[in-house]
Amino acid sequence: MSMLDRLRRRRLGMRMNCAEVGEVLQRHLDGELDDGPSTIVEAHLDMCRRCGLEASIYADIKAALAEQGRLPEESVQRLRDFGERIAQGAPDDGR
Amino acid sequence: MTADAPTAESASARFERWVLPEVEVLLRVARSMTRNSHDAEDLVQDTMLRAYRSIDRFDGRYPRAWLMTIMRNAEINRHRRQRPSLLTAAQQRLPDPEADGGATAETAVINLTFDAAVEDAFERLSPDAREVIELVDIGGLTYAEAAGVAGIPEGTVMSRLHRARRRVRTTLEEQGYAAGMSR
Repeated sequence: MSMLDRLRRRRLGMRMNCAEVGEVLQRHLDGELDDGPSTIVEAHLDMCRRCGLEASIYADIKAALAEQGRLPEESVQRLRDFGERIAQGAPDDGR
Repeated sequence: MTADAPTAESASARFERWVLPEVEVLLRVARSMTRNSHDAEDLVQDTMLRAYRSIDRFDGRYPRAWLMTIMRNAEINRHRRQRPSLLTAAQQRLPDPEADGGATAETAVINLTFDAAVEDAFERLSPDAREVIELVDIGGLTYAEAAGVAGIPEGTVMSRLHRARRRVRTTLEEQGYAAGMSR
């Protein structure tokens, strides 16, 4: 990234202060923020160590929680097979 | 998403288009709802059968939200069929996830410890707080989808979720975990 690009990104990040970023940070991490504000938050996190650290804490927690949602492949396959049988017009209860 | 005319294609084609791609999401949410892997599979099967039976009446808009509503109703019916005394026995915790095979041994141990601490903090949350985390962070639903499943406004999902994560964070800090110790 060129110096000019870095300056532009820094200016973009300064469109929100730390308090404003803090208010929308979790929505940003959840992908629930619109593209415009999300781009500003992203630029702010790049230039602000404190907010960047805050974001990384919640990203770590979110990732650890998501780990609990990992699915056994055999369960997924059984359900896909069941769904295929229904789609093929043989909707029995399979149990 | 553009809604198709309800009778534009066969029930099988509609089922393949709108239901089959959602199997993994359905299973994640079912595991959160039932806390039991066997019951979760049963619930997803029940949901798919119900979806097939009513697919001619579905307008094609927001299939995930439609499926979540079906699943929620199926789960309510499942509980009605069970005797209350049997419900507690069914609340078994899911098995621990496997370790990340791509990480170095040291990183894997740190991540597992961190993940266990997060899980422990999660277990200490109130049922309402756990529900929104289960739906959004574990199940992978959007706020709007989670609101539909839980039967609460989207704003409530958001406030409960953010508060719950802050509690998890506080618990971790009390146990000595700091930023950058994981991943």
